[in-house]
Amino acid sequence: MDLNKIMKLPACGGCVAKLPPGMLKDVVSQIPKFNDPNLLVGFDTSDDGAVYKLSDDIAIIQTLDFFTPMVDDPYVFGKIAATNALSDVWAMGGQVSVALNIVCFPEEDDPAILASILRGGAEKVMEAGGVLCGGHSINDKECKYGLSVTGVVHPDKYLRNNTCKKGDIIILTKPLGVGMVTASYRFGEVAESDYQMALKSMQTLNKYSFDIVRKYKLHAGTDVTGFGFLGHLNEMTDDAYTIAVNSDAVKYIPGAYRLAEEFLTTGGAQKNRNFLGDKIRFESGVSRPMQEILLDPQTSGGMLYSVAPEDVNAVMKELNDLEMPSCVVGEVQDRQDKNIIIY
Amino acid sequence: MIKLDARNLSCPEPLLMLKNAIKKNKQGEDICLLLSSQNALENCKRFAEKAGYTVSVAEAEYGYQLVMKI
Repeated sequence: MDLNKIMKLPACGGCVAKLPPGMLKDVVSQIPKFNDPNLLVGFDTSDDGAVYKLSDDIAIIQTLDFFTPMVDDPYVFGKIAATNALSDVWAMGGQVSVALNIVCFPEEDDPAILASILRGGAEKVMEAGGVLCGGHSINDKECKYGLSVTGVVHPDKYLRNNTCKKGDIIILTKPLGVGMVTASYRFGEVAESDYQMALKSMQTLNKYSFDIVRKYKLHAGTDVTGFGFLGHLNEMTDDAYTIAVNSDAVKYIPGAYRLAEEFLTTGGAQKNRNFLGDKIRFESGVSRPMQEILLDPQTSGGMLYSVAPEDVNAVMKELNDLEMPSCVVGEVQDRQDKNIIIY
Repeated sequence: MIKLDARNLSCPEPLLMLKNAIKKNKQGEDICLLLSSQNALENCKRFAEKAGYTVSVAEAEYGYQLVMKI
């Protein structure tokens, strides 16, 4: 049973298939604004999910994510798509409550494939501590799957992506490179061990790192997906400060560097580079392959946490017990000429 | 001239097509590559230059035409 047999896998599946950020920004700005005082986080900032206050004690987090397959195995695809969709709830500082399936599938194809996708998704909702309670499906030539997820959070304790404080340390919780590794794998350009590492990473819930970091002075957070490490880090920046990134400290899937050296990157990385333009600066020591890794679109990537410096050692000690390697990648500094400076 | 049509292919397919053509191009023929999106342009251009080719890029109705000479 292989997704590649029912459809030619799109070369840019997963979060690599996101619409470019510049285009989205223009379109979203044309949607009428809703002025409801209970809407704590909406369209106006580029955050990971919406937060709506229901009472003084409870707010709901609403988010949805779906995409085309980036792997052949339908069960694994289901797990990855669900892991990715669920992630936004932790990125907003909450816990998962309920989820609904979003399904596009060709009606002439084997229902067993769809069943495998949905089984993978349901298992991840269960692992996240949530309940899968329905969904919607349509007939479509191209398979797509994802979830609409509702989470809960205290209305005073939700996590924003752009509320870093000066002096904070930025932590990344999964290795980069999954975009280029999955895109090049089907062309025989990737070592099996690198591919397996990418699959493992994409199926790892961000819940585990969040449940650790939330106990400490966590000021901002977001997850890394289609806009790449630098694209999402840019959303964490503000006119008030600059984030300095130590590229030597960034962990990535070992084979990713060679792929980038051989120009085997994705179109999404180029879109991210174009969008970020002069908002960021690479210092001269940052090699072109390393730049590509930092711009590589991630499917179901890790979290970026902005943590008070005095807590970093304790946070990292705990994060180092997790299967996915975390790393300290940057620092929130006084405002300089760019949003992000990479050295 | 070797003609490669990589229109409507997503990365990294255009690059791989070019890579194979360059590998086989023992005679040093000119290579013409058609691309429909800008996303593959930079990588293909850099790859060919690294392999010793001189690359000229022209915008076309469908996207870009790269002519590579060695």
